[in-house]
Amino acid sequence: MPRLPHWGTPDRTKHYVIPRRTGFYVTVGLFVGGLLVALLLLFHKIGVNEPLSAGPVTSAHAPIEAQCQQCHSLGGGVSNLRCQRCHDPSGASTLSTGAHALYVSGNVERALEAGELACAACHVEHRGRDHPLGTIDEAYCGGCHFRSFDAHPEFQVLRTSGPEGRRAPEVTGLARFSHAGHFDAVKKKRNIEREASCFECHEYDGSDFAPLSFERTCGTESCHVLGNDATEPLPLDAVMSPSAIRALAVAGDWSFRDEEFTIELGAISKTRLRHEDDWISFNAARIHSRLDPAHYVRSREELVAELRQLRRQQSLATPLAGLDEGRLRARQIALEAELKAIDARLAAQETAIAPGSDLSLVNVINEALAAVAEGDTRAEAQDIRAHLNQRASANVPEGALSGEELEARRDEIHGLLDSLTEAAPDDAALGNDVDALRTRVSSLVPGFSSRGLLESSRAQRLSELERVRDEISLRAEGVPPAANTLLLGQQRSLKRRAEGTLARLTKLPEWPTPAAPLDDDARQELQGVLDALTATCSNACHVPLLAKVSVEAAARKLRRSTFVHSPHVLQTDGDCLRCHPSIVESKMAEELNFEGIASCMECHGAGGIGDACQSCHFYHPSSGKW
Amino acid sequence: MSSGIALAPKVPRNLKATAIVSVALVAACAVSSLFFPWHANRGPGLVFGFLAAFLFAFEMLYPWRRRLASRFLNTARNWLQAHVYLGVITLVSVFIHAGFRWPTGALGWSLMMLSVWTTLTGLLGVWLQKWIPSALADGLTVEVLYERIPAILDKLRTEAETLVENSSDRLKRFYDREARQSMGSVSGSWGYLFNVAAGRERALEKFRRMSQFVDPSEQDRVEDLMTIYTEKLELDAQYSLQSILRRWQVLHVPAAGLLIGLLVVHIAVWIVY
Repeated sequence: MPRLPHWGTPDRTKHYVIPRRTGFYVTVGLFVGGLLVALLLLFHKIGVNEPLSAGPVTSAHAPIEAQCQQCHSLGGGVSNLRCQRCHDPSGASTLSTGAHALYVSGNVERALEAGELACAACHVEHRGRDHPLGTIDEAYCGGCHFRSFDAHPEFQVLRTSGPEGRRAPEVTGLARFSHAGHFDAVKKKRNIEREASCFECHEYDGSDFAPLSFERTCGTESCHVLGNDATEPLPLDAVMSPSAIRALAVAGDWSFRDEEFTIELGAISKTRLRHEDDWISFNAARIHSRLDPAHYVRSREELVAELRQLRRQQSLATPLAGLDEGRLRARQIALEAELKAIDARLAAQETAIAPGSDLSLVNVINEALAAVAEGDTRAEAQDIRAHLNQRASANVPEGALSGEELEARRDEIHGLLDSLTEAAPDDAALGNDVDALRTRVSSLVPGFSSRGLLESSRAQRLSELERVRDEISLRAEGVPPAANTLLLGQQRSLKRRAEGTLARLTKLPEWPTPAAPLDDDARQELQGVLDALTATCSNACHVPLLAKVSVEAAARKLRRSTFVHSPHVLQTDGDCLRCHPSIVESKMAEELNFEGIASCMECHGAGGIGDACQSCHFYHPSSGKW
Repeated sequence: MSSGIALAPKVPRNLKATAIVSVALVAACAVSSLFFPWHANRGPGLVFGFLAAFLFAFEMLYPWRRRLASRFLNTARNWLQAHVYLGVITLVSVFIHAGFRWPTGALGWSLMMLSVWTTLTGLLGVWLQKWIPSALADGLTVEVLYERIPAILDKLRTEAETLVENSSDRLKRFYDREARQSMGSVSGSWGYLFNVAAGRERALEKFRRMSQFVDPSEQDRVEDLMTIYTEKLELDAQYSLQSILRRWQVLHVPAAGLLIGLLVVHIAVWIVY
């Protein structure tokens, strides 16, 4: 009998399967999620932040990985201030966007308008110990500049060079240097091929050529020896003898010796010359100060202003992290006072430079001078007043003055200041104010408006103040000071620059202002002495007006990029002429002798060798590079 | 039913829209990364982070769809469609938010892995929901409520034992040796997921061979026993597949809860730091 199927609902049984409801899983999931949140919060509370971290930081930051506040500020993300604690400990602001804009354009207005870019926007952390934090996405460069290497503009130094060519706009002081002549001389002397002769002077120092120097490159035993050269006899009333120089007790490490001089019939001659001969430099500077006192004073004051700036930076080059709370508070107070003073100067400038503005303060001073002084001084005071009134009613030019206009205006202001000091020679307070004003005026350079400089200073002080406040708040939170700061290089650079400026200043001693300007005959005579004094220099390599031109040895031509010769020399098999074809005919030092960006594009880009911006350019100008 | 048919979308328009949106989002990411370097916590990267977080929050509303159905999306089917397709867009947004880079850090890896896991298990669930009912309807004759499977099995076992009780010793021995144990409980197998009749022919072959050795008067009895055993095998398949259909959520839902917890931590860390 076949089996019958069962229809209908079967009998009730206790063996039902009761599957779990979906809500159970949801509850379990949410419970586990909640538990995890609670655990992570607990870890955070007890200082274990690793589970919350977005990933390991680079090895350089590993020692501070567990202390989030070293980089992060609560509610504020990664703060630039925290980066600066270690990377810009002295507040030089060389890592700011403004510094980049200034370095690229040389325009302080642009630097002020550059705004602030977060360090972390380019340097992305938490991507592992080996992540190259210094290498950034090329798209950042394209955001402001150009996106393809094909669109790379010509090098600025070539764009701004003379029409005939390839000449650096700035005078190097070595105008008479001839590559062509040296090629022939070396070829003849060493009997070598022209291509190989480059390496007779240009020597490798590491991966690039060492900067040329007279002592190492030119003044070797078989080339330019100065020992047998002598100056013409020069009148002792125009130049100073060694003993007279020593008697002045001018600071400086003088290398001349008495036996190197012959003094006969009121004339002195130096019989043994050195490169950068300090006796010639000293006397040339002295004659320069008499021939063109205004230019001399200005050159000197520019150096004084530069030195003052560098010394201020040096004095501040103490990491904030190294200060205790009391000194931090003191610095905060000092900065607040400085800011107040800058604000006052900015406010005063607001009204002072406006056409038809109130000159009441100047008028009061002027009237006082007119009242106490007599005769010529009173007349001069009236002239000053008339001049100021004329200035006040004139149109104030928009933006910065051109170089020539600035020089003219500066001379004018110096003249006014001279008048003030002459009118009240015994007024020490006035003298100090005039000196301070003179330094400020001297520190102005073409393209920079004084307002721009003031605003730049204000921005810098403000940023420093923010850093001090942040450091104080960090101390309050119990965050320890940064253990290591990257300051040593900066300190060394500042020290080197200050020493260099001081050395240049030493060569320009302060001379008393001449009682009366030189007449034409005296001027001509003195110019003749200067020419005779520097004849050896100008007959050889240097331009005649030695005293007015500072020689910058091995000056960089591509200031906003890095270029290393060795890989390029290797690629061209030592044929320097491939990139410098015109050098065999070059007769002037300022000729640039290199082809433009087109020659770079022969190899770089378009499927060839890499053309990443960062292979040549750097965003942050290091203190040693600009 | 082929797996291709099981993968066919219920509403092709939604699949097409999801594909278009995903491609558009990736294209937007590619274009913007030409102009701005990609950052998870800045600009477009942050926007995609917000989008992903918002979509995750929406996805988590699914268990409460019944309460919300009257206000949004009207039907459960619409909710499921939104849950599935927006889930896919969420994962795409997560990848874009991360800039298509491998994450770093325990939290980053956990978030990424859980996002991928939750989405994949969700899609697995969609496939199972489409595949299993079709496979059960097409490949089995027995239709049964999951909850009642043990009860019906009890009944089948009683029926089989009653049938064997009055039979020859040979048939009794065969039943005791080959069928009694398996008739005692439901035997689940993953094999049913791909073939609902998996192992059936091999199991019934023993009954067919046995029918050659029993007395002709017992042939019908063996046939009945084979029918009962076939039903039992189909109950096994029903039980296995319906269990999978109900339990796959253990892969999906707790992970989703964990993901939401970590997402809260992730957002909190971003806000605070």
